[in-house]
Amino acid sequence: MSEKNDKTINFWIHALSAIHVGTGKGAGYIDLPISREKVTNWPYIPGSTIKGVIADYYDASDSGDRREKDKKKKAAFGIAGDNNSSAGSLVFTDARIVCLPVQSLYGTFAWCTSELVLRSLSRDLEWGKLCLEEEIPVAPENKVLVIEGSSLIEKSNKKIYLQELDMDTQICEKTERLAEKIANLVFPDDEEWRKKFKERFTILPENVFNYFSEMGTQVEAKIRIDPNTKVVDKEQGGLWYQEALPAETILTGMVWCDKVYEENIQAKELTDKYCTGKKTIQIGGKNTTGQGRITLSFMEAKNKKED
Amino acid sequence: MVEDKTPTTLEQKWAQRAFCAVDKVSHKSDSGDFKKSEYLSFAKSFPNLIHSCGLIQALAFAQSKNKTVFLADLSFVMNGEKKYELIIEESRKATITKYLQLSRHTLAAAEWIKRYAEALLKEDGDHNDSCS
Repeated sequence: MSEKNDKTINFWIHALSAIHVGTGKGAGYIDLPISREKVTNWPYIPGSTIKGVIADYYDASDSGDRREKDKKKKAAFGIAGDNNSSAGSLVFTDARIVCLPVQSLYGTFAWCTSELVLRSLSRDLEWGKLCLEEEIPVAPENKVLVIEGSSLIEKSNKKIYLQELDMDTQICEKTERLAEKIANLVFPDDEEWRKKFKERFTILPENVFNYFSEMGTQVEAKIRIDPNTKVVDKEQGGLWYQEALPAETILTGMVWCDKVYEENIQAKELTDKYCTGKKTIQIGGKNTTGQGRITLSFMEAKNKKED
Repeated sequence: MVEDKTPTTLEQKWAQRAFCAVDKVSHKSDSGDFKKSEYLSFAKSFPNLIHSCGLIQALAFAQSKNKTVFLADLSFVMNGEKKYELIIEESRKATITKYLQLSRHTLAAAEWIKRYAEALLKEDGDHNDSCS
């Protein structure tokens, strides 16, 4: 049995298409809602979902033979079942929201966040030792913070038009430095996307961010077609509404390796094998309708005190 | 019998008003400009209309389609009175903070109407409860 590996790895999720990680049937006006945190009501992706798709990516989702034959897969992802089951040593936290894309009259869409979101992010990154090292600015009431040269602003009146809301803006250097930091974390190898991210980055007042986190998600009306008549199935055709996180959403979480109970396998071997690089994978439900394409990037923490 | 004056929650208040409003609709007969099936269909889609298009657009759409019975019920659930013109006016004039609050309030009310419309306005219309 090896000691647990305290090294924490941050992972970043960038939605390439809408993501539906649902909670089953909802009692509200959306029949198939997405997962939301109880207290903040912000959308999130459960850690178990992420662990599941990573296991599947490495052909370790079958809890039986495949894991038994490969000790590393067994150690990393565990064994399911009623008897002799184990959880596996890789621990994935939930992926929490960092930036929510919101429709914008200028710049097509804005990557929106809030002070509270950034504070949570900073706390998590510090825990993962990828410090933001920036003072987090607070958007004044009814104003949003943007960077100099933002593509979201109407040039003559300096207003921003997000969905149906129009608001005054304030240019903020701290916001620019934060945008730079986050852009480097999310798009480390892509200069063009870093530029586009910064131009569209905005910090909203809490109440406005909360509004968009509820009203800015993608809700689609769905029906079922009867294959014989080619019209809505009268018995089960229904009309239901399903929710998804929109494409371009950015989330982050952490992964580390707990004690490994397989002999001759070190914790570092598991994180090096399964929690590294950048992958384009599918997550959540409704994949046959093209939903759930994401890039998942792992970023090993660097402790600035050690560097 | 002494009336229980223990306060109820906001959700209970909205639920009770929505139940009363939709119950009345369920006892109404279809007439030239009102059909229960259309009320049910609109009640089902209205919350999503707010979500997708925003409050003011959704209310203006309802008004343009002459959904006056539905709007009056919506106003009743929100404020206890059927003068729906007031919420439409409020949505036009509200400050941003008030607008966000009003959007949530209207959405919650519309959600309760949807729930009871689905429960009480089924095609067979077979139910025994009534709002006294």
